[in-house]
Amino acid sequence: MKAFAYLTADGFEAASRALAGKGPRAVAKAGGTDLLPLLKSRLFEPDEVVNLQRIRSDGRNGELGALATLAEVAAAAWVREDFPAVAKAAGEAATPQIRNAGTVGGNLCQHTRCWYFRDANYTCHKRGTGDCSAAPDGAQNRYHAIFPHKRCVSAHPSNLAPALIAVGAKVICVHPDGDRTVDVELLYDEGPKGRTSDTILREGELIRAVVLEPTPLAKRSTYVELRERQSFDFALASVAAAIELDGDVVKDVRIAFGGVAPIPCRAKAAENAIRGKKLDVDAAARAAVAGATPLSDNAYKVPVLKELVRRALTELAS
Amino acid sequence: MSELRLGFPGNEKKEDVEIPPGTPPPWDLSTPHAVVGKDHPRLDAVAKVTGQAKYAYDIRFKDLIYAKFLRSPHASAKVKRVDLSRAKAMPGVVYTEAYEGETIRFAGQQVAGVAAESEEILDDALRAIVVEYDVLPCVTTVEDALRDGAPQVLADGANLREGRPQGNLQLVEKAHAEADAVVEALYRTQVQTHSCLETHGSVCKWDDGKLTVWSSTQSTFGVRDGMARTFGIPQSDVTVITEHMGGGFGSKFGPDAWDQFCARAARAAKRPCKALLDRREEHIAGNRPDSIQRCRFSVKKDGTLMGAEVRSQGTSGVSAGGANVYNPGLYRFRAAYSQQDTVLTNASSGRAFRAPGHPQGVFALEGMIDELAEAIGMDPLELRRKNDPNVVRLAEYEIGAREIGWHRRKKPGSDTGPVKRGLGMASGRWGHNARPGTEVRCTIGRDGSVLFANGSQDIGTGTRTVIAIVGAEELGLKPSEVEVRLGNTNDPYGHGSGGSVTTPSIAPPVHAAAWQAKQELLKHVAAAVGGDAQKMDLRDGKVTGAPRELTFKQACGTMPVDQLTTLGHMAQKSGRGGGHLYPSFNGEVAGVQFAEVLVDTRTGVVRVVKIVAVQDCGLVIDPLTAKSQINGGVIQGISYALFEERILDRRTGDQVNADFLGYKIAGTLDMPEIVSIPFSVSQGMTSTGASSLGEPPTVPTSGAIGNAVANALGVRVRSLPITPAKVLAALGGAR
Repeated sequence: MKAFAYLTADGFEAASRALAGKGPRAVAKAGGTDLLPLLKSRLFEPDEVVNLQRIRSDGRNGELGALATLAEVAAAAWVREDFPAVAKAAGEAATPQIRNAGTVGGNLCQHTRCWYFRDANYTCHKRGTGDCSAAPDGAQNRYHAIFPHKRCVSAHPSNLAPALIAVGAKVICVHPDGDRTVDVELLYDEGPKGRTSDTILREGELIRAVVLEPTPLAKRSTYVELRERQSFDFALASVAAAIELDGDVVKDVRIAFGGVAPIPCRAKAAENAIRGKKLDVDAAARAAVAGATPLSDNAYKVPVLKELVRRALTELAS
Repeated sequence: MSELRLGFPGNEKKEDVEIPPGTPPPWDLSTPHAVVGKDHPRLDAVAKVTGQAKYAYDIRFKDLIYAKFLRSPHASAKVKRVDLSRAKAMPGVVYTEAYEGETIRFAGQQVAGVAAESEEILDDALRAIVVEYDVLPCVTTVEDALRDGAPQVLADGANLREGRPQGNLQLVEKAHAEADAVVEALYRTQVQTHSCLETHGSVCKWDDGKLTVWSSTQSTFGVRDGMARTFGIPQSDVTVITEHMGGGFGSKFGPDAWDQFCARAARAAKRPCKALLDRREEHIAGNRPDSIQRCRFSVKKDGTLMGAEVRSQGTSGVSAGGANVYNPGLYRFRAAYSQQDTVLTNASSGRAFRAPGHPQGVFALEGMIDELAEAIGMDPLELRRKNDPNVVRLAEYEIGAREIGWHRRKKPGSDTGPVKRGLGMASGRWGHNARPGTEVRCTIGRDGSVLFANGSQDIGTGTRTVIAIVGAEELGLKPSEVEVRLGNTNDPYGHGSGGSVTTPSIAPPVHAAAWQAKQELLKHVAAAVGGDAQKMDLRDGKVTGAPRELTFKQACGTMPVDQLTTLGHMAQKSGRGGGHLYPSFNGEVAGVQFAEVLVDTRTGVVRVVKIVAVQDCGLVIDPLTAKSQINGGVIQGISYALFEERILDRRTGDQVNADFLGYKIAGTLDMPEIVSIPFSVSQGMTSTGASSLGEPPTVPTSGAIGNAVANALGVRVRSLPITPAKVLAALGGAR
């Protein structure tokens, strides 16, 4: 990797100030599980790395500090009790080692695992070096999106994001120009050419915490994913769902997907197919994949996603 | 004449043999072993798990420099110009090479090399090299390489390198005609990379024109001789040291180009130099070729196998050979025919990989046997029993079937879903690869210390432990009471670990060296305390048959010299041609495996629940390390069956998953219950009767899993790895 200055921040505000205005020349490091490979491969060549790990969490009620590890989230009794989808998503991520190092903020802000994104020899919309290399003929895209965006077909890797979207979580973001609170659902967008990040966070903007508000919906939530390999694998597809039932009628429902689109996304069609009606898991599953446009090698993700929707809702119905 | 009892309980064969003078009496079924055949933990286990064991990767010097190649991102190109000027100008860059004018035939081929004072400077310098390429079209798959007008990979001929037909096609056609069922199917296997935990490479150091190489190799003497040739120096001026190495699987018979470059850089810079590959380079350093096997097999209603016809094509990348598969084989066919072609592609070259050709061949062959069994409505185990000529395998079938609970096997696809259980099985064979030439020195000190020394390496199979057990057996000691030194070419010669030769080839010389040392020691004892040395022996740390009681240590104290040294070798038949001293019980190493799987028909995920592996390896010297070896073969086989696959971008020929994230290797959560059962056979051949075990246990695994998946689903996935995508496709896609 390229040599860089290593700064240790004592608070989010200081870290944000150190990062703001520097563009790709400065990057934040929490657990480092995503950043280090990017530095080693020279995809990122910052002059400064700002270490966040010394920042003390203030551990407010109903908040997950951005630096809480995935292992801590998975083990937290209040999360397991009131936000089971979140605890499950954190507990299924990667490996024990990565769950012990990887953080909430890092999981939400990690970069796509698209192998074309991660190799500077290929053109990439996200890296701003040209067209997406994963979509055309001859590309290898078995792990890519079945809901591709126009200019990027990568699959978003976060476990936590769909779970947080399903339970209606928000993130508190810190920036020198002012802090803000953003729904996790709105945290992601299809970026402009050359924006490697999948989030709307401004330069230097950092997630300080995730706010979780207990609701009947969140309490009845779950997360399911499918991996090719059980040890250390990113999900081929993941589904987080939260549901509120009135008898067998769906009073409210939130469903979110990971691993099937360039960003974690809310599955509104699936929700609408069952909201206000008797729970019909097959109707939700059908609606979930209605708009899918698989690439050359990943049509299998369509039945997989349908099945995960079925499983998540069936689990919640029982 | 002596009688040798060969075989296994229930199937014994007696042979009259001549024991040549000066060689130890051979072990057989009647030999009462004290330590052989008992569980002994690996002698270097503690050193390995605590990090005390030093690998080539761990070798450090104060003035160490680092060397690495710059590699082409293009799979087919001409290197027009290599501009090293910026790299050379960097402080800390001490040596460079450029390969201008070279033809690039695979992505990852070297175009320049740099050595520098730190890995960071090296990285910067490699990135500062400017290369101009004439990029040419490339082909990455067998199908593309065989298309009309496909770019030609090598200048000397077409991409298709046809193999010589084996067998008689007319006889096969006749057999098909007489059969009751003919099954035709196409099987595919993928390219698998070795993925050694320790990557390939070495640390090289020159002193007064003499070269020392700390090498991650499975052939210390091969590296020595290769380096001597490369630099035009005597073998005696090269020392290769491999105390421990982190996996080879056939990929590390160096010296490789990077080792030679490392030694050139070290010589030029007059400083020790380290060149160990990074993970991407390791994936590109070699692989198990893929295969497309078109099979046409036939069978009679009574289960008589009739015709077997195979046309296989596979790519070994830029190698014009090496994509052969072991298919057909194993069973008695009325007639068999095969043609095996290698197809050139712009991809890195194939290399020997744990039982080359066998896992890929057996996956298809054993799939076909199951398909035939289904065609005639016969239990696939029964079909194998009827047609298997190997008595060891026939015995292993019974053990394996009992252990897996074969009676639970249902008709294909008949389990109620959505998660379906399936049982399957497959077999494998391997040669008895006991090779003469390896020598072992035994040194017994007057203080009672014992050292066995050999210059070859322990590829990870537990060679140190095997040597200690065999030596201790003959000297009446415990394995922990003898020292073993391995991995320094200044010690006696040993073969490279290829073909599963190491244990069968090293156990006899250890046996011989220990036996000779014992004869000498007992002569000294007789001279000192009286009695007849011929009637004495060493047992339980003591001398038996002497006029008074002596411990081993006291016996050593009677030596008139400070130490005695013997050199053991594997005795061969005298006369032209040589050959093994003793007859062999049967001609091959035999193994069978049974798999139980759960297949989720909604998601396509295959979980292996249990594998039973019954594996013959001649005499089992250490059941504990033998089981470990079988476990390893099974684990690698599961990984090959379900996960591993080199993925090349079809436009660039570049491996997009040259890491351990996209190149998926089975992990702990993917592991089933593995029941490894070493099947001991008194095999003869040598004085110990030990045979090959390194490669065989990985051969049947993917075939057994493939058959179990087909049993669960009622449809067959004829392509490895068996991924959710392929399972769902076989089931007809979406519900």
